[in-house]
Amino acid sequence: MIRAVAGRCGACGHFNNAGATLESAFPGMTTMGSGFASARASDGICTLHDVYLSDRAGCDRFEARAVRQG
Amino acid sequence: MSARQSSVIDTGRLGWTELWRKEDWWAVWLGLAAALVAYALFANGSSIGWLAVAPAKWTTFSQLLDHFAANAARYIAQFAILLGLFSIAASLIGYPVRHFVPGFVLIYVLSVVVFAAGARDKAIYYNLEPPLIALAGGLVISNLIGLPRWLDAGFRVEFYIKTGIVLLGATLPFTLVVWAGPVAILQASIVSIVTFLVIFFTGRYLGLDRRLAATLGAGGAVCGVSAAIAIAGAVRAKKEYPPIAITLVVLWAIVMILALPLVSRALHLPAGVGGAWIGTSEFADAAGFAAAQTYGGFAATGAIAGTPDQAVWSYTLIKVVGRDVWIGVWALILSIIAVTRWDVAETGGGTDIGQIWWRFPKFVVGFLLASVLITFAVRNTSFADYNTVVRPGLVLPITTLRTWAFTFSFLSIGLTTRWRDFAPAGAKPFLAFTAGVVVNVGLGFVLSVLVFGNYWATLAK
Repeated sequence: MIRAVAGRCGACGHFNNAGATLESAFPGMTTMGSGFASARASDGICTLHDVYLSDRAGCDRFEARAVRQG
Repeated sequence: MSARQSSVIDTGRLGWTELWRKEDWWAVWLGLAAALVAYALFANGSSIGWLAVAPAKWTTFSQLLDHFAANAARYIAQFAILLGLFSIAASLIGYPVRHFVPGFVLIYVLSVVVFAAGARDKAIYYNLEPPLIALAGGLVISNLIGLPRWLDAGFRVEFYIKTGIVLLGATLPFTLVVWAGPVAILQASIVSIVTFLVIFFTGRYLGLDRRLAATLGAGGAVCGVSAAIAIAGAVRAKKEYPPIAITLVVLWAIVMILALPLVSRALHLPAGVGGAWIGTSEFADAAGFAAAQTYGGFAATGAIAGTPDQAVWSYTLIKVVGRDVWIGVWALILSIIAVTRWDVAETGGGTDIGQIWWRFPKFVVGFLLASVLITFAVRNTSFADYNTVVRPGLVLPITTLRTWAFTFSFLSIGLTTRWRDFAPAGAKPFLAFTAGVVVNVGLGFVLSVLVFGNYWATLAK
């Protein structure tokens, strides 16, 4: 059973999937991997749950990311 | 819902931006461009060989100095072009360019040293193959001497190796891919599935969380760190799981860079067979190429039967064609299992079949296109003309450029491996992963040597 969610991680303020951020968060990643590779798609870290997951996942504690103006 | 602080988000998988924001695609562009330029020059009676300069065999130090003096302009041009192209790519991918440039300068200078050391006539007597010199030198510098951490921006192991793989495609006959591809996929699939299951169920037996067991299993069975990261995301692993897998993959991959070529040599395995074993049992692409190129180097000296190309080609077919391309399928299957069967306490949302393509290692597209392009371009060449005209004018210069890219990568492995920075893996993950290593190496030997040995020994003959 797949649970419905309030919003997708990719649009959530708790979610960060920048390549450089992942390379900092995962020690040794650049030795034989990369935060900028196709294989990781757009996965990132949820700082709320401390989980590494797809940007298409989501949860009930979704908080929309602010859009920078100007 | 409240609006939170804006954070950096990568939506590169959506739309065309991936074409210039992922290093896989930049490896395709750079590799294909080099192959096209090389062919265009060759077709017009010239050659890219002037730019593809590297130290020749030398006996005395003065010979080496004479070589550099005579070819200074070629080295300067090569360095400037490589620096320019890689810097442009780096800026668009998102590496910090002001740090990438000095990092690349250091990598290039060290690569010249590695090339020169490997070209010394006595190097073969001491097994001083360039990949091993690069790896050992990098490890010594990073762990005993130390470098500013910001220089890591130029030590892009994956970017360099992927670019080299596309260039390798330009020297690999596509007919060989068609002929050997099915066997490579069969052999690799058997070992990948068995290795994954061994690591996963050993981990479960030892009490590891399913997601950690799956992350470790993918790291050992598919394509090392890249697979571990991909599967961690697919199964929604805890943030601390990927670093555990990274530590174990890197540890065993470096052990295998040394062990597999030396054991293969001790067993007198032909070049193609040793390369196939390395392709089946190494964990990461760059580490495997270091081992396969080392083993090919043994063939060049006559220490084993076969040719250097056979070692690298059989490795490539099994690792790249047989294992890497399936990462998206592994991710899809495991994500479905994770979402539908495992306990999802905190997160929801479904899974998507599109990840088979999103996660596909796109450099493989460049590798295959380069192979098709050059194979088609020289299709009407006689065997004699191939050896006397095409090989020196087109194939060998591209091979030299590939060797530069690989050397950048091998050095970067050593320079980024700071053991004190790695996450502690813990006894249970270590045991689970090591169980997979034992099975992986043993089964890889059986398939590469006993079952398909004759096949790989005669590759490209």
